Amino acid sequence: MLRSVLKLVAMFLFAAAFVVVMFTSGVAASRLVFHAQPGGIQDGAPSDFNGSMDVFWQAWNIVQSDFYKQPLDPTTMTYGAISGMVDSLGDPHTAFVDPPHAQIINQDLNGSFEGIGANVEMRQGRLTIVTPIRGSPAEKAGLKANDIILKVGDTVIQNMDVNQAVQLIRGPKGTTVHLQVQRANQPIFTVDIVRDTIPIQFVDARMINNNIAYLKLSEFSATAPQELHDQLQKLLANNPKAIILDLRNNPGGFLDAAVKIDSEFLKENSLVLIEKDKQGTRQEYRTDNHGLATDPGIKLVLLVNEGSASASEIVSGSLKDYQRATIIGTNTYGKGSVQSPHTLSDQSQLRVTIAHFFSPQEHEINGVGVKPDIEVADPTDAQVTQQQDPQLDRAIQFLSQ
Amino acid sequence: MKGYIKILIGILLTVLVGVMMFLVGFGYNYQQTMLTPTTGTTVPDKFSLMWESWGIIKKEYYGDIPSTQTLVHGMIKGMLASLGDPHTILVEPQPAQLEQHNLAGSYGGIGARVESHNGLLVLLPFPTGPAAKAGIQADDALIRIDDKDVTSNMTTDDAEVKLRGDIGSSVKLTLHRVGQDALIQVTLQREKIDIPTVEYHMLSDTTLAYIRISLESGDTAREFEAALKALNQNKPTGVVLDLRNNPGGLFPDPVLSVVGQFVKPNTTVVYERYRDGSEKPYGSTGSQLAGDLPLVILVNGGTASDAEILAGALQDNGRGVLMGEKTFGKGSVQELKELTDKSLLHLTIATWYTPKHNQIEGAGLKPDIAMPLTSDDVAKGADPQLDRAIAYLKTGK
Repeated sequence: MLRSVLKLVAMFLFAAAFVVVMFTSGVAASRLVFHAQPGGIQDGAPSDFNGSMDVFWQAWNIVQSDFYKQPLDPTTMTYGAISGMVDSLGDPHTAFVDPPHAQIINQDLNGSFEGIGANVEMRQGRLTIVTPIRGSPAEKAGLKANDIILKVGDTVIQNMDVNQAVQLIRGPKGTTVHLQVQRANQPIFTVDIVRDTIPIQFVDARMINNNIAYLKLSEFSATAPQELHDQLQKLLANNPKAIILDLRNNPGGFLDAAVKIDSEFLKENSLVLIEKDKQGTRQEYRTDNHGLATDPGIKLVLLVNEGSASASEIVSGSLKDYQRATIIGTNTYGKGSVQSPHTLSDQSQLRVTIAHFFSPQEHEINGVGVKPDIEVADPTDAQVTQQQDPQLDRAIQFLSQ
Repeated sequence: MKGYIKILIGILLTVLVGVMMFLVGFGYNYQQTMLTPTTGTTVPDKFSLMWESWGIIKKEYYGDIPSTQTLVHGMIKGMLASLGDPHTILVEPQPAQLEQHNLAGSYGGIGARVESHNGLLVLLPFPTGPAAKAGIQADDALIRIDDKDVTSNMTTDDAEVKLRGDIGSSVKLTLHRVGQDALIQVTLQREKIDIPTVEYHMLSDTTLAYIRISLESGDTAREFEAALKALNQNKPTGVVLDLRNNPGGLFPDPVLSVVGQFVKPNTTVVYERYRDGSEKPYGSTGSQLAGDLPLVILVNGGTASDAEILAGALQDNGRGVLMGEKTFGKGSVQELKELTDKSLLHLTIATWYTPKHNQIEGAGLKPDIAMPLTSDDVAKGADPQLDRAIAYLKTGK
């Protein structure tokens, strides 16, 4: 009995082994003919992404085979993928910009751009016109301060980064942009505007009460320091007893421009900001010796609000730390990060946050901003309509004490 | 002889089994190496920019870099976003807790669907529930949920997940209503959303039947048939079918069955059109319990998706009159594919066309008789759309 059982077991084991051997030889023979791609698809991924890209290509292939709109453009999809990867870092200031839009950004801070000439900002998630630039296509088309731009072409603007929104509006001179606009107490209307070259004046200068020099700087462009220097020189000829530098709603710009403009008001070699990168490396930026108003005998007031960001905060942070200026208005934005723009091999751009900056006394700006010495709220809508400016009034009052 | 044959058969069988297993092994390896999803993909030249960008970020980026999985999911989301279809999205595997909640059915909601409209995330409130009670209207755009901005890369799924939570918990919403300047703020308490999808009664002082379908669920076909059976006892002379604020739901069964209560079996209800242009028709099922009863269908901007198929089928087959406001315009079909890491790809693979070949997606259905419902009406508790329907069924115009 046992012998029969053993015999059966032996036969069974033999059969099983036979099956396994034949199966394995089949696999082996097949392997000689069909090669598995090492590490998956050949997409040039560095070792960090070893094994992780399978799911991406799986999704890519499903889209290629099943998505209902065809044909698809792999370049658009690739740019989308890169943008998505950059977005997943979670930093709104680190962004990938495709070639046509990169071109627009490059023009921007260089003294002119091609667009419609409307100064805009995001308010409560919607793109609002702060003011149309004098003589611009936007002004000629009848756009007004506080108009809300709901749609640019087919794109709805909601909770978007303001630069992204601006990119949609700008475009080559001579082309038309189609806007859907909402104005208080009026039905929504649409307007077509032909873009033009908009030379930007970044400085608005005038005397107040014959003894205060008032300069409003809208952006820290590459040309702003020279423009400000020239305007300041003109006003100083009137021997003002004080200067008001208005940085409200100034979103920033070049770091160098901030340092140069700071130099007008601080003596030579003063520390303006400290830049710290990921490794903790410090870089210090200091003023030069070309200041026109470094004498503390000329009182200085800085007007700021929550629209004052980045380079504006470099200037206000440093002037406050040195007590060179009295800061009036509301807490600034709190963007204390520096972006480095990289042009990639196909002219697209990657803007990466590479450092945070700190005031001379090492106060953190990012997320905190600069707190004013005298708090005055922004004008209400009613006050704006009546062209009242309580923050400026307070500054003038302060200076006459 | 016998012995010989036995051995022969033995050898033959062995060879057969051997060859079979060899071929199985051969085929197995072929499938694994050549037929897996990633093989045979053409990687576009531009993809090298991804690694160029990554190199710069790795070297210089100031903040913390998230996991590779997060980055790759980011790539997928960005790639899908570039397709320009708001319903084609990646849904990441849900945290275990939420999954449990969903399965147990113990989560609460606000009683609204989230849809994408003109690039905005909007609410489609059910006819009853916390959202309806709070006066939320179809197409109200989500600006903030609990003081967190709704960003332009959030999907409908992301928003719906944020709106769900424990029963009794509250959620604060900031909304933008078309035509109103000031944003609307409203705090809602989540409830167990367990409403019967079909509600019916005879309209007082009339011989007319009223049936409302709030959404299309697995129970709808059965509930609708039961409703008709009950109403038929009263021998109605006309039917008002209310599909206002019905955001859709399951497809195809509830829709095919409901339409089938009004038309003969296998009447065309809708066409599904795929990317190669081919069309798949769907025909009605159901028992024609409503016979030839005159029919008015009430619709508005909150009537979406399957509800639009329903209304469109009845309109195009000349079976009923559409009354109210233009419908929402969501008429696309998503296929759900699970990726190797268990995330879900929602992909639009087809769009719907009514029996007369009108596209629903982006267009919506135009009512035969337009009749608005203003917020004044609602405040007064009036329903001019229903009144007009009754008038139509009584007078024939």
